[in-house]
Amino acid sequence: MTSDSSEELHPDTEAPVSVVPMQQITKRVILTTGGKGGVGKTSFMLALAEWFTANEMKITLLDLDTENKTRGSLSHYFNRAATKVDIHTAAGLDMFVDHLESGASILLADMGASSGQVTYDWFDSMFEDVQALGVSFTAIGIVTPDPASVESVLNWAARLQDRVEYIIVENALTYPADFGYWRGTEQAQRFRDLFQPLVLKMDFRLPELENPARQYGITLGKIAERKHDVNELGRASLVLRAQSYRRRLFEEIEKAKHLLLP
Amino acid sequence: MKPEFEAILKSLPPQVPRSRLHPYSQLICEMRKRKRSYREISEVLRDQFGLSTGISTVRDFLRAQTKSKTKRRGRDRQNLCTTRNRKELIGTNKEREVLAGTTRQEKAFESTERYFQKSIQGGLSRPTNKPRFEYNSEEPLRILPKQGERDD
Repeated sequence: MTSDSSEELHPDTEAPVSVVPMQQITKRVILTTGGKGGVGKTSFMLALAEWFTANEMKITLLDLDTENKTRGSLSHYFNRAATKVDIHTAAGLDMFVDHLESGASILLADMGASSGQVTYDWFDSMFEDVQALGVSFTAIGIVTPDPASVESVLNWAARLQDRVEYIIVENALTYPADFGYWRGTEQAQRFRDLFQPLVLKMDFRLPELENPARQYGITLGKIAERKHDVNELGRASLVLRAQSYRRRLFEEIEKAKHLLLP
Repeated sequence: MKPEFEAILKSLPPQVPRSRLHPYSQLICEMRKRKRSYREISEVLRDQFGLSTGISTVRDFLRAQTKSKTKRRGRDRQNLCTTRNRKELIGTNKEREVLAGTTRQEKAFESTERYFQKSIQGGLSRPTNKPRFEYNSEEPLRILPKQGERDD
């Protein structure tokens, strides 16, 4: 008489835990490399979120910048669409997995300025298993003329290594912007040689556009399409500026398509 | 010098080398003699030993070596890698081949064979656990010399 051989042969072995829904599906987590505050992480993530929306791609937005003020955070711009998550718990970034399993196949995570250690620890303990589920990672580092922004990106890269693909955004916070510390230093050169990051440009934005947009939580898209009720952002010149910024940013993002889609 | 001072000096343990480059001093020295640039030396150290080091670090190390050579001249000169004592120190290529029992060509062949074997086994993607990219946040960012400037 025959019975289930696997049960007879391994009576004490537990059946493997099923993680079937995600096994064959490729998904992508796009996260900003935190570290340095005020470099434009959220601004770029906003543009990215708008680009995905404009291309009718479903995304999940996570605002992990718990220490950030309400104004200027991802949740401020997208209200309920962005979930605010506290990563400073024992579970770390486990919610990446939960959100990917239950929601869209692309997850945008805006990391906070102090999220480094939590992220490194999580990658060290969870990366291999999460990768096995078909999840890939893109890290977006923002560099400005400030050398601290470059150091922050390099610090993250030294911990994340080649477990992620890199996009570096040169954010012109000043006009003209000098990216000497990013383009012309030995350490940054080595990072570029090793990981071949894709470099995108983010134009300098006029303060008269950027500041009220941040204050009221209005995205470039809404300004460009006049879908808001903030008087100071209704000026024709600012609308044109917003359209121009958005167009150029979208053109840049298009170049990184292969690193942004699952 | 007073004999008691000399006794103290003699009793002191030898100074531990402070540079990470010290174990590779012979190689660095030799590469420099063969007109290799600091950048090339830095690249060899990185690629062959996974030792991430800056061009200026190599240059400073070599300068320190030269300085210490001058200081120690006549004392423990035989330990330094110079053109004169090179043969005594490491022997000629032929002598070394005889000692090792293999010629350089044979060695190169064996090394290539090992490489392919490892490659077939899939063990070459991560030769060591050493991280590919190392960054010391304590060190300031070092500006690269502009194009046209000599790096050495």
